Amino acid sequence: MPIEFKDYYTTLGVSRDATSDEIKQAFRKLARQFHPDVAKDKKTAEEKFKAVNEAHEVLSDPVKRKKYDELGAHWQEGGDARHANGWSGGVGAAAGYGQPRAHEFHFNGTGFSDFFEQYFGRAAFPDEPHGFSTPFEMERGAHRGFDIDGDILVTLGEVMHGTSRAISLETIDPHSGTNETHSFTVRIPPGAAEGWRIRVPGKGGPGTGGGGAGDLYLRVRYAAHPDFRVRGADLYHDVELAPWEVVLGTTVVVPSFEGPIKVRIPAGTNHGRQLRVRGHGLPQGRNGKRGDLFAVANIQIPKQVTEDEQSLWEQLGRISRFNPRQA
Amino acid sequence: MSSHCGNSLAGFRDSIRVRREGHRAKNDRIRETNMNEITQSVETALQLFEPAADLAYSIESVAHITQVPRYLIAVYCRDGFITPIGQPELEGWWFDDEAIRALRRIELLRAEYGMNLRGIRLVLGMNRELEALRDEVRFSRGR
Repeated sequence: MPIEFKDYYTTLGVSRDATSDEIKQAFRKLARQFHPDVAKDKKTAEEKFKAVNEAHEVLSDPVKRKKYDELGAHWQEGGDARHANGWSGGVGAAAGYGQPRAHEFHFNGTGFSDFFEQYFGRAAFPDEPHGFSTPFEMERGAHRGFDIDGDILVTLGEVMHGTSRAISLETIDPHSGTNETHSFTVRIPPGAAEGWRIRVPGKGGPGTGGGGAGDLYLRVRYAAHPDFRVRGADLYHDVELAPWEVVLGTTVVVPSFEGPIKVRIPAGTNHGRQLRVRGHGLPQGRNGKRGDLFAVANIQIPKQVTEDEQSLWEQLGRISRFNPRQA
Repeated sequence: MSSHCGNSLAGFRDSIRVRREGHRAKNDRIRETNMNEITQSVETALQLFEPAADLAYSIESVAHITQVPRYLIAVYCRDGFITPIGQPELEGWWFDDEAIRALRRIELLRAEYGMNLRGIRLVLGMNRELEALRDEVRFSRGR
């Protein structure tokens, strides 16, 4: 099946030699515009956001970006990019350690494009070159079908409330060339944790000789959010602060899923200090508990100063007894 | 092993349960359900798979699904290859989908790659560490 090449640089609107900061800024700008949790026209924004998130996923990771750049060069040459650099895509279980693919398969509905699935899907574990059979099945000459691993993209808003995904999985038998498409809906419960695997029994590769079908494992992946980072059920929001704000203290407004919250920044707050807002994180499974929201102090230094500001900083430097290098 | 294989499908489904938090009595806390079944959705005519976030399988169910004998599952638990949910001494042996996947991986490494338990421990440990590092890198890169 021909796969369409994705130009992630165009998607983010950055040049090919963009720095990681430029990529981050471009992502945040577009994500704020199109994020389904934020956008007014959710339907239209969703597809755009998926593309933006996918581009960010690849370009923000130096290793993936390098592979992508090499892949792009080979793609333009019309070569087989999969073998261009000794690496192959990681969709599913059939790609083992140098083993030929027993079956090829394509996901639809996971939130990632075929291109991403093919070349940037995960292959963290040596997967079965063919179905692994139990001793009981071996006795009968039966082979269990292989398990398939895939990622499913979920926004934080969907984690809050739960969601459903229409998934279609197309399996192509390389020997007969026949393809088979399984369509089904997977309901993701509220509080589904990052990395949580949803096992869909019998939706993996077909068994042979009477062996059972393998299973499909969908791993929950959180879509990057323009305002929050996630660790467990806790949300982290970076609050940009001026030096005088952290010295004197101030009050800032931080976003949350319940609406904006006022957070007091105490006088003398250091860079990186985390201020906890209890119970405003993500749900933890179905136990009703919520994680916390952390406002992280991120002190910004002005890049340019006026003459008056220069003079005031110099005055401060003369009269201050503060020495950051003193033990 | 044959006793595991001989379990009826109905009996197997009955032993897939959803753990409910917040109740002390064991019988109240565990409710029988068929949440892991694939059922027909009338509206969409698509198969609907609706797993519960706290889905748990009894050791018998895990043995049936993975075809790994119960005693071997217990050995893997004892050696830290898989971890049961909650407190097995008080609540019995319950496992999640991750444990089923881990058991399949262990059996794959044993049977297909001829690895012993020490080798499997090394591979799984490195894999876990790699996952944790990836998560940390992802979190840090979001700054």
